[in-house]
Amino acid sequence: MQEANETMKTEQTYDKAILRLEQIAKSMEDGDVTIDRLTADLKEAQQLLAFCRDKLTKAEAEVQKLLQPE
Amino acid sequence: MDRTFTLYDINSGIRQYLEDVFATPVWVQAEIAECSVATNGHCYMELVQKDLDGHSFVARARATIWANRYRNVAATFAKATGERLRAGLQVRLKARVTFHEVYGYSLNVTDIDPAYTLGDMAQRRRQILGRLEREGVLADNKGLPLPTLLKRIAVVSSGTAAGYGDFCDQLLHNGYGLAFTVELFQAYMQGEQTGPSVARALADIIECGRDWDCVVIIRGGGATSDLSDFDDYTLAYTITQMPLPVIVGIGHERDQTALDFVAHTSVKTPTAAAAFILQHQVEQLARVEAVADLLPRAVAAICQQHRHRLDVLASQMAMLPQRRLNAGLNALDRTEQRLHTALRQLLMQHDFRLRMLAQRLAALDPQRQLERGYSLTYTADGRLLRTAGCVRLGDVLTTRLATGTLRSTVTENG
Repeated sequence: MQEANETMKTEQTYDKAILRLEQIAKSMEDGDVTIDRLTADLKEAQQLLAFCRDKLTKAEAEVQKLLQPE
Repeated sequence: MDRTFTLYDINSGIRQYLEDVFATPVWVQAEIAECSVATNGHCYMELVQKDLDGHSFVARARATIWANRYRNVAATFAKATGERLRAGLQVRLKARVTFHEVYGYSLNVTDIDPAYTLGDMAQRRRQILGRLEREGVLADNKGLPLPTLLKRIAVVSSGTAAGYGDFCDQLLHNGYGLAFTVELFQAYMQGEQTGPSVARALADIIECGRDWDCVVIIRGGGATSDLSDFDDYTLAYTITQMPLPVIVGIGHERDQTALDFVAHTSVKTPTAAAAFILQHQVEQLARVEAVADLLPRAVAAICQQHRHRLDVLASQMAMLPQRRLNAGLNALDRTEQRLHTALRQLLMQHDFRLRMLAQRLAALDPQRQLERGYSLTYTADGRLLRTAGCVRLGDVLTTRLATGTLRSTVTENG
């Protein structure tokens, strides 16, 4: 898990994260995910959601700042 | 007493005189003041010549094109000029000077020279444009896209021309606070050297190595006839091959030169050229401002869209694992059920088999035969007796009945 976090810190992007989220959601919807993986996938999804929300909020704030007339 | 002439004498004398002087047809240049074609096909015209100011007539005459000539003359004229014979046209026509004692003086027209009407200038212009078209380059400059911004402008003009001043004034003192870089490339704007000189200036613009957004060719004032100096094939060709859009403002309200046809944009005057550039800049500015207005809303919409997507994913994450677990539990339940059913069936099968075996065993029990009246007889050494020949007289035999046993002695064997 620590390794996964490291990877997330260095390489994670919003686009990759959201793609992975969609993938997890789909495998759960289709019932493809095994019970063994279920909790691990859910944990990963929650981390990715937090990551994406954080990115989006920051980007939104930055855009607002940029659009402010000088 | 002085001699008195009859009117006929006078008129026939004039006729005779004119016939002597104008024995053959002559070429006459004049303006058509009136022109009508009668139902019989004859064309009647009123020809005039105006004074230099163009205000009053200095000469006037009736002219006729007889129907048999008119069809041919009018068709040739229309084909060459694109115009029908009408009032206001300057024409050069071939006519016989005639005089009739009753109807008076008239010109009997037999031919009209379209080249005159078109003017040498216009005819030359058509030739130039025709050649450029055949060469496939006529619209090359027109085909260039106008750059988004027209800020760096190379001007070809005569530095002393009022037109250049007008252009700069209009452009640099615009009411929008727009900045321009304008540089003059000097050229002769009238006279025989005009064509080569302007072409040279255009080459200089490219060769100077600096970046320009467009080229403007302007001149101020000047007589209309001077415009013919711009009807130069080499110059027109140079413009078609310019890598920058060329805007010309050398025209006149009514007249055009070959340059007006080959340039990217043609306007009447230097002021109009400046106005065209300004208008373009203002439009671009408006586009930028429109985008600036649009941007915050567009960004907000994108963020909103992503937020919604994340919300959907979050709600899925709250629901889907439980659904997956339920599916797992259901599967377990179903498996358990199947197991129970299978076990029950297995037990029933074994029970049935046992019963059958018991029945078969029961059928084989010897007691059942004894009870039906059969008996078993053994010899003294305990062997089961099946044949009478195996015993001798006096042997003691033991017989087993359904109930109890008998001992007996053999008295007869036979």
